[in-house]
Amino acid sequence: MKYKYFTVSEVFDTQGRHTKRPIVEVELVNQKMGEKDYPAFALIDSGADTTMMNIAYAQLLGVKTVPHRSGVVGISGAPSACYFGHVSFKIKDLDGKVDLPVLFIDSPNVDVLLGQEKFFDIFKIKFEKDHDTFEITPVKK
Amino acid sequence: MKKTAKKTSKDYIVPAPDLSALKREHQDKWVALSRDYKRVVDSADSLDELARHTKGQDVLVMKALPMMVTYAPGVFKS
Repeated sequence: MKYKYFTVSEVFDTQGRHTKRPIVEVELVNQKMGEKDYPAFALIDSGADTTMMNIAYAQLLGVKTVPHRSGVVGISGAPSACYFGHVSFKIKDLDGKVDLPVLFIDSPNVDVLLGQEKFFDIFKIKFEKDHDTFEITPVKK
Repeated sequence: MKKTAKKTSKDYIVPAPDLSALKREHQDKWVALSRDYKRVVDSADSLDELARHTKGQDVLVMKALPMMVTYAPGVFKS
């Protein structure tokens, strides 16, 4: 399925043009019995090793987490503690759900990032920014 | 007549969300949007608080990131 790039208002590139990001709507499956799933947005981030989410989602979705021996480091180099768990996602306009390993981090700058581990193995991700689109295709096994 | 690609067509492109309802005042807050993204239903400093305020409502939740923030996260071994 092809998706249009999302134009971020009030964020500009070095040439003064609007920044565009590959953002897709997802449904976050609630692990608390009988409680509703949550729609959210996720940024497809080929530069992230693993899918990352704000720690607040772990509590909301009832995800069991354990401290992870790895830390997460951003471009600034400052490391942050993180917690490991699993979350099931349903991606807008694609069939089925996918269970992904997730690192949860307490950071004001992280919402939901779909990173390389597993996500890029089970989906073929094609960025076509010159066409203002990106494509997510399940990999045939 | 102009043809419009349907969702089942391989030519169909999922439109990008229009988040023009988000304003500067929502920066760094947790925000609940209506399912058509056109309305900010509520916002709060924490996701827990937002979930309590919007309990039972069909909303999409998101962290409205501070503007001009870019990052490149990776994993390292401690």
